[in-house]
Amino acid sequence: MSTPEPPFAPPDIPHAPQKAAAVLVLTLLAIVAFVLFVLDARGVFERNQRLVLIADSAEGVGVGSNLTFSGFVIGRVVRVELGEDGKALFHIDVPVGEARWLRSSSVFTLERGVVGGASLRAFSGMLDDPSLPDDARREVLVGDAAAGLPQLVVGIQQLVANLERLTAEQSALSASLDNLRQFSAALNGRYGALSALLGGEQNARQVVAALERANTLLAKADARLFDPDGLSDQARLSLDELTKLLAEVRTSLGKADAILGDAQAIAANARIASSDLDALRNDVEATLRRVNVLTGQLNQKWPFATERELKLP
Amino acid sequence: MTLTAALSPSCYDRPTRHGLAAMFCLGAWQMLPGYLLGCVLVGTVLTHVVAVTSASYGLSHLALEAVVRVLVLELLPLAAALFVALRLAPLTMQRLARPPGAPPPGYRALLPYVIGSAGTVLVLAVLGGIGALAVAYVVVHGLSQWALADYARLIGQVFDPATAIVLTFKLLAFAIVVGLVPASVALESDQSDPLPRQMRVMAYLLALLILIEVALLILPRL
Repeated sequence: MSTPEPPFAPPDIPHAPQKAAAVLVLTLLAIVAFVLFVLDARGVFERNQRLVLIADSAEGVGVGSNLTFSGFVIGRVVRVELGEDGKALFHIDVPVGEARWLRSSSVFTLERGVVGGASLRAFSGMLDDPSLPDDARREVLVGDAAAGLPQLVVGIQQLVANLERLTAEQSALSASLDNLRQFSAALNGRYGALSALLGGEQNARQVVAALERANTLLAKADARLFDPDGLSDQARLSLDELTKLLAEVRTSLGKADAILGDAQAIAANARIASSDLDALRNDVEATLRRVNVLTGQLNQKWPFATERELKLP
Repeated sequence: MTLTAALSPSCYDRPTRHGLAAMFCLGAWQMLPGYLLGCVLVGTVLTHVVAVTSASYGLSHLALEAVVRVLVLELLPLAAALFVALRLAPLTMQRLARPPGAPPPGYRALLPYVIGSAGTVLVLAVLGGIGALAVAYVVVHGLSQWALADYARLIGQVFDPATAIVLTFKLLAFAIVVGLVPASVALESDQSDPLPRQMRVMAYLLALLILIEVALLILPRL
């Protein structure tokens, strides 16, 4: 005969105490193991060395932030405080096992990215240097990627404003483009670049007409100058005649000079009477020299003269 | 008074212990496999989604921390409380409903329901959370052992003292609410229609759970 179930009692489950005990023990073990795991992960069971880093600002760094060396976490910020000098002090616990990476010559940096929090990094170039002592205080070099953002934003705003001004409908660039389009259209027109340069087809037409007239004129001038019996040949013939005439004059004058010399010698005793003849001779010689000079000039002025040399008697 | 009785060892006589063990079996023992399976599945999907999304933004180093904070600290405790409420609260209300004119049960009779439900919430939340932590590691790092140190450091970073205290308080609050609220039907004398009363109690329970969740999300940041 089974005992009646008391009122308000839960339903009966076979082996309930054993099952409940198993679940409870399992849960308690899990809780204890997890708590120990978390405490160990937080470094409670490790011997730590304290390091104090000094920075201008604690922005981005909080309790629990990591100190990394070569990308590996070697320490954790356990306290952040404001120093007497207004600087931020990061108290960092570094496990003794990891402290070997920190040397007296180590450099510490605080880098703030655009996304995410700040990161504390340690750099030890000389691993043979003495170890960093406990409770060491070091300054932090700050590299802030976001610090330049406001300046960048201002620059971008100015750039956008300039672009808007440049691309506005009434802007100088728009007017220049209109002019360029007109110039391009003129280039593609009937008179091409000439029409574009002179500002219209009318002017270009006049220039073309002027050029045609100039060509005609040049053809006529060429015909008159360089055709057979043209001005050039006539000028050459005239020059030849002039040269011959001058040569004859020079000969005649030479003869007159000889006659005068003879007359001067014959009438030496009548010097007084022939003094006028001396003056006359001097005049004739002067005239002869001027004729010679004139001949030389003519030879220089007419490059087709073949004989440049002039011999005086 | 029920809570006071729960803290008194003298209240745990043999029938009470037996009833408590039965409630534990009904809750924790029977629900644990299904709940753990659900945690593993949800944890796998959520971790994968967060890991892939964060990797696409170049923030994969934040994926595990996000999963731990969202899943283990927020979602799974609430899910455990809701699971237990759906499974044990109807049973509790049904067993504690008294016929018209009958005297209310003593506090000792309430203890198996209150402590059984509350303990089940704690068991499921703790084991489900630990399971989700393991699943998140496996999803992100595979079965490699070399990321264990970083993962341990991350968990240690997430479970700082303040967070641990808030989580503990949240679990205890969920457990107390899930244990006490269904048992409150035993104190009501109006036994006309049990169904609307049970629905009202369930709605009240759900509102309290959400209120606790929201309050513990906001209060630590004030």
